[in-house]
Amino acid sequence: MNPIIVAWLLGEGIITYRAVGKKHRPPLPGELLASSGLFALLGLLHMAQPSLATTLAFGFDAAAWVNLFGAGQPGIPGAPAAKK
Amino acid sequence: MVVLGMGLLWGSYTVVFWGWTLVKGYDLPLTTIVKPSAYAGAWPPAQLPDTAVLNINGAASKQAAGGPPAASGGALGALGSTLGQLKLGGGSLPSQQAPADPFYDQYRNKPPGTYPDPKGNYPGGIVVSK
Repeated sequence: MNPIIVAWLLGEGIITYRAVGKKHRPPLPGELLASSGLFALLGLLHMAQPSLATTLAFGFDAAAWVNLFGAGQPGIPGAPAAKK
Repeated sequence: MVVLGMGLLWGSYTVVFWGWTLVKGYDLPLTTIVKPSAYAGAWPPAQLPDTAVLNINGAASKQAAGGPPAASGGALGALGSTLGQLKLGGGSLPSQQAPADPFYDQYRNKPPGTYPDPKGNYPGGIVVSK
């Protein structure tokens, strides 16, 4: 199977897991659209540079996986909390 | 081919998701669910008015907001109600209440034979001239 397809399905799975686990609802198609567009562009890149496209695809999956558990959230450690 | 397959799968998921929201009666227009980060409200969303049939761009909920309430069951229930009205000729059944009749209202508690007909004639051929 095309590694871009595998990486895309993995990324959609992470988004789905996040939506179901944290928001208690299925992911909206619009939420999947942006990542699908990104992986579609990577699919086009895969025809010219397969190794680069595969690395980028799984790199985005790794970034989404790390963000899933709270790391990588915006904000500076030690900074005062934002006023609400 | 990869891009085509991704688009096909995404479109299929979109259609299934939209149908699921219609069955559940959620007020989520199609244009809202396909826009990235267009919906940030709570879940479940507000219920669609029962008179709305298809909720493509949110006009259904706005249009149906002023309409009379129909049977519950979400948008598909409203579709069934609409089809039922079409089968009856586009109108609704009249109520079972009798029409207003002053003559009937005036004499309905009187015993038979003690009241005239609408022309002023009593039963038994007695004619009362005024």
